[in-house]
Amino acid sequence: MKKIIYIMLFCNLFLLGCSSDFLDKAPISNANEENFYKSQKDIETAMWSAYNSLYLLNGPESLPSFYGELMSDNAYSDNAAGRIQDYESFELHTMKVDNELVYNFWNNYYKSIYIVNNIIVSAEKLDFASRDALIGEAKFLRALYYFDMVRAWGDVPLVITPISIADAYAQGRTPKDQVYAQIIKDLEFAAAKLPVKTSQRFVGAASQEAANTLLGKVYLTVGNKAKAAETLLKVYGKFSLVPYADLWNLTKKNGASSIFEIQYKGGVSNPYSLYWAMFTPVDNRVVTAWGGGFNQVTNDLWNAYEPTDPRRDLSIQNGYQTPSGSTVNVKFSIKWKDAKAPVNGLREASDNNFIILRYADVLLMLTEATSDPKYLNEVRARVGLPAYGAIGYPAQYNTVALALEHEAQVEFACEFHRWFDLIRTGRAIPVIKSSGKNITTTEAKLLLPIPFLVINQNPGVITQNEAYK
Amino acid sequence: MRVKYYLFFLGLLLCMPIYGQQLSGINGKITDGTGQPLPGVNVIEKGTTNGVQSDFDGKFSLKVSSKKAILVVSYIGFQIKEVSVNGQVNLSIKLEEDSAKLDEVVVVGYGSVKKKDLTGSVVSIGAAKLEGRSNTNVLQSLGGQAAGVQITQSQGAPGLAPTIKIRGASSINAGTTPLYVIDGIPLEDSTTNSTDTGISGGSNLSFNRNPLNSINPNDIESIDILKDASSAAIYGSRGANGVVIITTKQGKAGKTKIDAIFESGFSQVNRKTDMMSSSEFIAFNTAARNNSWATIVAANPSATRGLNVTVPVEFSDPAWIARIGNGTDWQDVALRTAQNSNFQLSASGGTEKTQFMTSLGYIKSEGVVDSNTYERINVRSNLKHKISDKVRIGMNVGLSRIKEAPYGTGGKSDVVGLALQSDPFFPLYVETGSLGFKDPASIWNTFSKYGFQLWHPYSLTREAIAEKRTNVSMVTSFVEWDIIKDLTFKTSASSNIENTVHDFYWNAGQNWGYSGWVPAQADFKTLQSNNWISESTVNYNKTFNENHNLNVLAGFSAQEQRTDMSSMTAGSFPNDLVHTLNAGVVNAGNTFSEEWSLLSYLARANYSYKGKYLATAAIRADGSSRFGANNKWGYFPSGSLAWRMSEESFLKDVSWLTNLKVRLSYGATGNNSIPNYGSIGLLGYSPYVSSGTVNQGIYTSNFADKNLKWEKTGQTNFGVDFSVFDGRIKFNGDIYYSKTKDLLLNVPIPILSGFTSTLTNIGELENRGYEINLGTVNFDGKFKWTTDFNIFANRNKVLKLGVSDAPIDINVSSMTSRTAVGEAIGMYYGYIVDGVIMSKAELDSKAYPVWPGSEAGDPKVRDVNNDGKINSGDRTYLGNYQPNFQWGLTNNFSYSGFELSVLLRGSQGGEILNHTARYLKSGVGGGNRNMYSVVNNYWKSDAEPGNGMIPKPRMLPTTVHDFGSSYWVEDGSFVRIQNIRLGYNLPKTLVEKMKISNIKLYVNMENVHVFSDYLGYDPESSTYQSGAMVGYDYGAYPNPFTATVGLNVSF
Repeated sequence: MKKIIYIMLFCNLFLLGCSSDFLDKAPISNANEENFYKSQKDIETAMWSAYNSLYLLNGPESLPSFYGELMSDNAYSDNAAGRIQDYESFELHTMKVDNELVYNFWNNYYKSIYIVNNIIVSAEKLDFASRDALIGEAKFLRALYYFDMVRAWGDVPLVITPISIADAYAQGRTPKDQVYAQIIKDLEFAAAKLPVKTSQRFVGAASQEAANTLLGKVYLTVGNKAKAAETLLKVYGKFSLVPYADLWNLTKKNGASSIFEIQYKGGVSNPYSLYWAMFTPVDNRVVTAWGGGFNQVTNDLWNAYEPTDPRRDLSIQNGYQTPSGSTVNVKFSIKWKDAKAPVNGLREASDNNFIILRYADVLLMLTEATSDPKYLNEVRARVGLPAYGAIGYPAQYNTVALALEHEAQVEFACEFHRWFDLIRTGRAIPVIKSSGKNITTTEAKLLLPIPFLVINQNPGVITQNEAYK
Repeated sequence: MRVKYYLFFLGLLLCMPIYGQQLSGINGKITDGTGQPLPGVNVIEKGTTNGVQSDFDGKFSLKVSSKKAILVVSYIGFQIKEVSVNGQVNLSIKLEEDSAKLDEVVVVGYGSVKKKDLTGSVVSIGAAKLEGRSNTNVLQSLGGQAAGVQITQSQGAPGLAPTIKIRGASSINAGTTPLYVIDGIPLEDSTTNSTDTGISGGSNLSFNRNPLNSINPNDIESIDILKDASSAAIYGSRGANGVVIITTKQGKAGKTKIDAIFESGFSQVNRKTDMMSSSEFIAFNTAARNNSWATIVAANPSATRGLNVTVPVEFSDPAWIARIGNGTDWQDVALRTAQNSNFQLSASGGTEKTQFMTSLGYIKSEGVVDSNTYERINVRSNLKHKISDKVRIGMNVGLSRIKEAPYGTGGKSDVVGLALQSDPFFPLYVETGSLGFKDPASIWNTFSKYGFQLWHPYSLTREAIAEKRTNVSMVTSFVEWDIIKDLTFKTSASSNIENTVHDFYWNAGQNWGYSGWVPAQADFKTLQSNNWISESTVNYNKTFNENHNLNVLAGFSAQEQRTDMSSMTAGSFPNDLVHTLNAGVVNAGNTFSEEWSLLSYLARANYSYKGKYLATAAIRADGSSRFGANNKWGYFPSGSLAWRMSEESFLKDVSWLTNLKVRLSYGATGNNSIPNYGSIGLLGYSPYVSSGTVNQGIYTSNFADKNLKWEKTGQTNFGVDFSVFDGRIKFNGDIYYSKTKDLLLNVPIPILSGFTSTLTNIGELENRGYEINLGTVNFDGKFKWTTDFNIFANRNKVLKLGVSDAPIDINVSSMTSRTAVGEAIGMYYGYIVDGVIMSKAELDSKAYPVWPGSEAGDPKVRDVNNDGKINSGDRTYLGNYQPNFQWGLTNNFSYSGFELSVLLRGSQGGEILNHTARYLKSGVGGGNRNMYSVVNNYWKSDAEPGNGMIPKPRMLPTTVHDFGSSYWVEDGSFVRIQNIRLGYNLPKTLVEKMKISNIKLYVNMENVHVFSDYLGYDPESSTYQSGAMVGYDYGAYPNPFTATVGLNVSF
């Protein structure tokens, strides 16, 4: 008996002896911050999560999707569930400060920027050969995010390093000129340090051409056409126009036109794309398992195509048949169609990539920067349409500017370009007025509100946009 | 009977030889409380060794030394009684059973004290109060029986543990469940809310993990609940929510006692929800479609009428409507009368050296939701052996196996809630044999285009195959060693191992019964948890100079737990023949593990002077792996004082006063239920694709907080205990005030930091309340009637939140739960709706502001901030779930073998958030869901405004229809007939012939009736069990009425 007691006593003493280790429990299923961001390998691993942000920030329910497309004359919303008015207020320009989508977008951008900033600051402390190229990728992403933000909100808080809670409370909105300056700085760094597309780090990584294309667009947006032309010409001729249908062909991803493309993989356990599931008519249960009804195509867009333009039927489906044989008259985009996608919770787990920058964009921007229609005509020649100025060219587009506006609308239909383009060219207000939506708006209302909750949390420091005061 | 026979001989052995003068002869008869004779009772003349034992008829004769002699009458299991002879020659002596005596022992953690010496606030509930209750978890039997302990059965599926809150909620994020100590093993209740809703609700393995789920209520000897902080402080960083101590039954030396119990019964939902019939729904839906179309066309005369606002032609066809009749009440399809049975067998006994108790229990219980079943087997063996006069060893082993089909337990968007929302005009089966109208081959498919809804209950219960199997083994062994006289060393090692496996398969397409065609899917989940603890204590107990008693305890304990979870899901099944994952394509798999450890030192001293002045001081030091590097150790002191005034000379002669004691205590306790790795900056994973390869990326997913620590509660308690007239009236009263500091909060921070919130110890709240217990013996003869009444109240108030005291809002499904300084935790926050705008004239008069776009018949929203506008600034507090007070009333009657017990329980002043009202009461037909029948009284026109409370039906919400408002908040007050037990003990004379010691027949009824105005099933329903969302009923599993017939045979 005594033996048992001694054994137990011994065990207790043993525990007392090792008490300090006993209480140290490192996480088993999560890596620990303190031993990460320490090597080239760590930075490369972290970069995947930086690219991961693209899924959210450019997905079907994202700021580019709703601001760039749904607010324009191209699209309307037809979703049945959730906060209908939050979607409708993009479509109908009835935006309010408590729009939950706008709040989510705001948060998503700063979460993504934090991830990128963390990588940049950590990498700058390290020393390895490919360091600057990796930082260049991170800065490209940061520029891409800030560019969308500054266009949608105007002045936004510019955060370029991880900041403390106290600093976060102190940080107000940065004037948009300074934000643009930072975007240009980041893109110039990226263009200088990144390899060309043919030797990119992985298929889909940011490249020198991607940085220059985006930089060209930034210059156009800030009104510097000369710099835009100079920058875009560095990309001119490096890519080619593939047949229009090939752009979304699942077997021809990352083709010769692709400059920067979000990479997805179909299948329910993969990072799959949701464009197909969400852009099909709501609750159709025929075309797709369910259908999100986002960004449905307006008659304005449908009618914008010239009669012989093959791009219309490659981009848009007009109506579908129910099992009982009746036709539902609704137009929707089929660019991201993936008929073979497995269904996950009523949503297609599609394989389609999403192209953010492609060569046709470079060509149209070059025309915009130089007023020379030859680049524009390359795009038209690709689909067999008469050149601007040639016989058969639609008479109503009688200036280069109007020709560009028309060409971009049909070339990039449903690709989140339209509203950004119209605002850049100063045409947004008249176009939306004369469209089927017949909306009267003002310059001030072209910007989104700063979310009410953001101002509420830090009043006095974060200010509201004029139209929402 | 044989037991008593045996005890008779035992008594003989103990009986001392008889000496001395014998002068006066007396005769007597000894009986128990019910008048049954007691044989083998020791009768001794006080101060002498002169004594005898009673015979089989309870009779004795004894010659005493004087006519004024005092007899001491004692018998095992009964209170010792002193009887003055006073010259009588025939005495009739009645002995009271032990359970009622003041010397009752209370378990206080690492030891026990006599109830009269208790200085803190502890409720002790013995087996007698738990017998015959047909509950799967013993906590369910406590409701209404313990002041200050709120037991809420938020969902009624068999096997689902109730929620327990002791003295209110002391935390917002760190959990409000008490610590459970089962035969010395402290176990945390790691239950999380059932956040997986709908079909996957039952597969959340972190839900319903109450440690008492695996304990057979029949094995429990006593439950002791440490309520005040001075009592709970001995459990340190885990004591802030109180401590529930469970002691299982031990054998007693003597003849082997065998008990067999058979129970059988049924459950059903008596309190159904009144929904619209088919014809009522058709009329409502037609009105909604017409009203919305009128609004659309008024705004745009050239608009085309969409299918969502078009009235189906069938709805205008009286013949069709007549053919449908009342349609289908989907509740009747989802719910059933369920059978249950319970079988218990136990044996206990032993010798002076070795005692044992072993038991087997089997429960099979159907749920009232279709296909929901619960089955449990329990085996227990408790052994104790005396190796020598100084050394004792023992071992308790409890094993259990639970098999359940957890249908309907999601609490939200699950069988019951969806059945209520399903449209009543659809048949149980469509003509093709399918469950629903989504079948394209069915004539009913024509309704698809209008957006009608049906979630056929069978699509979730019979088209899904779900099973959860849990094995729990709880083992503890100990050695006690009396090192020297008065000094005892005890050491124990225990382990608790839990294994759960969950299988789920959903047939392809669900026979068209679900809201859409969903392909076959399957998942497989496991949870393994391993907890071990080693504890050692030394106890020194000595009385000095007769008057000073000192009891000192010191101890050390180390505990560790590891939990491993895994899950796998598969799809693309070729058919529904094989349900395991190998038949399909596995599309996701994951494992997750976590650990925690706790090291503790504890000490306690009890001192009493002449049994009059009592003092207790205790301290515990806890080191936890969860705490940040800068705060590894926490210290939890406590002290308490008591004064037994009735022992003072000035009160000793007050004959009617049996006991009077005042108590005062203060203690500090902690709540360590913070995330296991909350103090460490964790990295999250997010993938990106390149060239068809998925690459796992890493990012920082939370802020590191090296200062993270426990929440700290300080509580002061003042109590009075008194009993008068030989204990026939007993009173206990307590008042307390507790303040919790360092509340763990997810403080909102600007997203510019990369995060929207961070977990920090900041924030304070207080709880204050009172508890009163009153017990009376109203009749004490052949007919006996006792009453126990308790009433208690708690007020909860948040004192501080974060740096800026910004309120914490949780938004779920259009409702806001707001926790703000000066208010209670989790207030409902939204608009106040004062009925409807009664007429166009009323609207045009502009007597009050309305929501922009309102028409007559739309909700009338109160202008709370009086700014002449109705907007989001008019939201305000709408109440919360916490009641103003609660009470319980038990009446026990007994009369010659018959026993009747009636338990009533009530709650007053709490509100319930009827989240299903978002659809069922909204009057908005856009979801095409069925409505409560009260909605029939909707606004029809200026001339027919209904009852002025229900808005005009619409398809599309135009104002606050779908915003959280007072329209969804209902009174949660209720009175419940919780339990009625009627028992009959067969006459001894009859059972003795059968060589059986007792046969008892009984009927037990649980949840007999609820008096409440609540529209849903039960005013205690809640989809969430902890945190700020308690009180939200989003279609919780109904609490059924249960009736059981039982037979208890003892040998």
